[in-house]
Amino acid sequence: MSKWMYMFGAMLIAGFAVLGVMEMQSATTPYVTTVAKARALADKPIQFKGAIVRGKTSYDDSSHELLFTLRDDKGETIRARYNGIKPGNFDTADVAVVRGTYRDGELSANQLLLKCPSKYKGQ
Amino acid sequence: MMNPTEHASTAAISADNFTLYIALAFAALACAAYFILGFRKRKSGESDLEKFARAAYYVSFVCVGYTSLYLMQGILSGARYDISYIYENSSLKDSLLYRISSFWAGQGGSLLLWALICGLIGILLLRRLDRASPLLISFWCSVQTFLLVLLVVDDPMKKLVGYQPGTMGSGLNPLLKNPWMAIHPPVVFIGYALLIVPAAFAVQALIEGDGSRWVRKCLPWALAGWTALTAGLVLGMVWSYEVLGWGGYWGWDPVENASLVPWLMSTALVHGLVLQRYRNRMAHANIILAMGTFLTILYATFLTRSGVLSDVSVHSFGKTPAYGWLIVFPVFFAVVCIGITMIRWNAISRSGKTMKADSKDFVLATGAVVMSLFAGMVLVGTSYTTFNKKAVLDSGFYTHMSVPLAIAAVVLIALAPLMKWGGSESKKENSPLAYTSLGLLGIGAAALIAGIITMLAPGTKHALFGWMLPGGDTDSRIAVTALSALLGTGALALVVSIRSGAKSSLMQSGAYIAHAGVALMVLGIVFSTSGPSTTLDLPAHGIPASAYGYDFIFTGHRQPSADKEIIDIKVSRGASSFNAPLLFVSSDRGKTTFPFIRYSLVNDLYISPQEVSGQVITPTVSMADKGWVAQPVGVPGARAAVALIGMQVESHSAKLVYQAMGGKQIDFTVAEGSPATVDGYKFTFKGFVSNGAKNMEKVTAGVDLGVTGHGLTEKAVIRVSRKPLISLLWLGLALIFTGGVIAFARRRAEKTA
Repeated sequence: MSKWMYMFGAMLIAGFAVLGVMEMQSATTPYVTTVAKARALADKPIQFKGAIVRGKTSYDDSSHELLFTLRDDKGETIRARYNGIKPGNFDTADVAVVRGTYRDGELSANQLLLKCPSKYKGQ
Repeated sequence: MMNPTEHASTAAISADNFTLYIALAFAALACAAYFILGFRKRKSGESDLEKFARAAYYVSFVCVGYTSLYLMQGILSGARYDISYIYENSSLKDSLLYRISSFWAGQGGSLLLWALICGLIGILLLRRLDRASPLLISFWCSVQTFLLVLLVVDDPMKKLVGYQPGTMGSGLNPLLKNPWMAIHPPVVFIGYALLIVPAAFAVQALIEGDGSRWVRKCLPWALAGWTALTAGLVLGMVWSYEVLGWGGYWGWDPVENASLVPWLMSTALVHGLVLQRYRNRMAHANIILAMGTFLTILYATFLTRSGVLSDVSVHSFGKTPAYGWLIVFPVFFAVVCIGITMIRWNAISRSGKTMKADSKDFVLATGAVVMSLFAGMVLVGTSYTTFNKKAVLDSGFYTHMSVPLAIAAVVLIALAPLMKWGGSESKKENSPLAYTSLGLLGIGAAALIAGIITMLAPGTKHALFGWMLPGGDTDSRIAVTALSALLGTGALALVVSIRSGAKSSLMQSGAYIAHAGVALMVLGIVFSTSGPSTTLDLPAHGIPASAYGYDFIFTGHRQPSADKEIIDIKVSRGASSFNAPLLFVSSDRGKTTFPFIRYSLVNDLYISPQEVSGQVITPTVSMADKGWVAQPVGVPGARAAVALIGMQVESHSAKLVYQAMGGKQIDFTVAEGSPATVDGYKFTFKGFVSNGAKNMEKVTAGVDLGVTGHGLTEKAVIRVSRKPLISLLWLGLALIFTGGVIAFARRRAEKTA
């Protein structure tokens, strides 16, 4: 097999690696734990983690819209909107991880993950 | 990293686990004895050391076997809930199949099963190879030794802290109560264990400077391992589709990926071994692929068992006292494998001839490269997800990156049968094939370059792909381009594989059958992912909702046992109708939902329960000057109120009082899975709420109660999806497995011929 075939193959592999690096950058969502950081990354996909503030949750059963408030590490709160079914364990969860974007002072979530207290597990 | 008290409590010898210590000691002795034998001159008679080495191996195996039987007996008898592993995973209430499968439902038991399977396969190796290849056996024993170290540290026989006589087991996780899942772990471990054998062959070959003789012997082991791991992954996929309810079979979860990497590596390996067997090529590459398969199995073990994934994966085991060993294990073997390979690299001779571009040799080698790139891509993505604590990687990375690789793989599958070993003799005959292959490679390169350009300069997207879909967003146009390329090349590969398979004898058809399976799998994936899905609200006993030509009616809500709830959905299309029962199971682990699938060859109907909701009231209590004060809540539409008088957080139950206007006062209790009926109303436990105040004086806590009866109704929310031609995927996977079985049978028969 001639040398140029090897070169061609090496170029294809290099091209694939470049594609991989670019894909990785575009598929990476940063973790954000402060409202200030979320504001700085407005309109970009982020993953925000915060404590659920009790008594500030409302859920519309017919449109499946969940509105709730999260408190960040520094005590600052932010309103979050999730269009989807309220997870069964939402009311017992302490911490929510929201995937979505920050826009106009509000987090709009397209994915909602909950961390529940593990007190029900045996010691 | 390692908690000292945890460590102390796990490393104690007891009447339950002393056999594991004996097994460990004798595995280490066997390893050392075979190592010494590897550097001794072979004599005609059997030396004492050989007898000792073999006896040590058998003692170790018998101890592992005994421990396994002991654990199984403890599980089946139901008399050993003082052992924490048995308490956490099994229960006498489970059926026999799920009591048996609880053996490998957790960390320690599954490790014991792996050690048992490795031990059995070691006996097969011993009976064939111990005199000829003592170094191979020594390497095998070293793996077994490490597995036993892990077992001793993370002891499946550990006592339950705070055990009281009469304690019953918690039973198998409801998600694992599925026949596919019951046999998935043993099949994966058989695959893993068999795929360690090629690495042992490679080590022996390097030390002895054996260029290609090992390949014939190794090929059946590699194919058996590859076939078993294929079956293991497929079982996991079927389980995911049938049980998990998100509608898919592969989620690119790190734990899934961890087992995909060794599978891809071993796919490259079996192709490389076939090439080396016929053409004496890829001798060095196969050594690396064999070791790579082994090391990625160890890496997968680390990822799934160390607890590093407990935040990012839904399937991962929790923290383990064996954390440190799980790092030592892969690092040690990586150093050994890389060290031996570097030192003995030149002991393996090279085939001097260059490869012709129009030869089967070249196509197979390229296939091995593509599979290795695939493995590398998944490995990098998974490691990035695991160790990067500042960001997450979307599964889009894997799906996007898989498309060019899948196209390349399918094109190579279509080309391989058209080529001859060593290339074509006559110039005339060969040129069309050479042009075809170059043309296809050109298309691949052009697609890749086009992809890179579109990403670098978003403005060019339209110019390149605008012809695909007028209107619509550019991303979907790229997707359509990529998917149509996959469909086209997949169909081509299918036709070529079927034609070639039909012409060959059964024994020679393994590769063609497997390749036809790959093509069908690709078609099934492309078609089924194009299926739509939607969420439907179903009011109780009433108005149907429609989707995809079906009408869905919520007909009732049953509770066949304390832990099971079923909502019945009547699905009708024209005159025909059927009932789709959607199951919810409550356990200590929370509520688990199960989908209903209407299978069809053409288009599956996939119904997944989301929730059952209705009126919810939340009676609460608050801390006031002199203790807890209840705030009663009115029952909607009734002259009555409900007040909370006690909460049992541990057992998920609440004590309440129902107070009707006019005096009637009734105490009642609700618990998860056991509703209460009072005065014609049915109250269902939904969960506890609290305002989360740290200051006790400001705490408010309460319970969410579902209320039905007297005209108050529930509604069900379901997710309905279509899965067009997903049957092609399952058929394809079955063919890949069948092809593997046939190829194994052929190479096994050839080994001695």
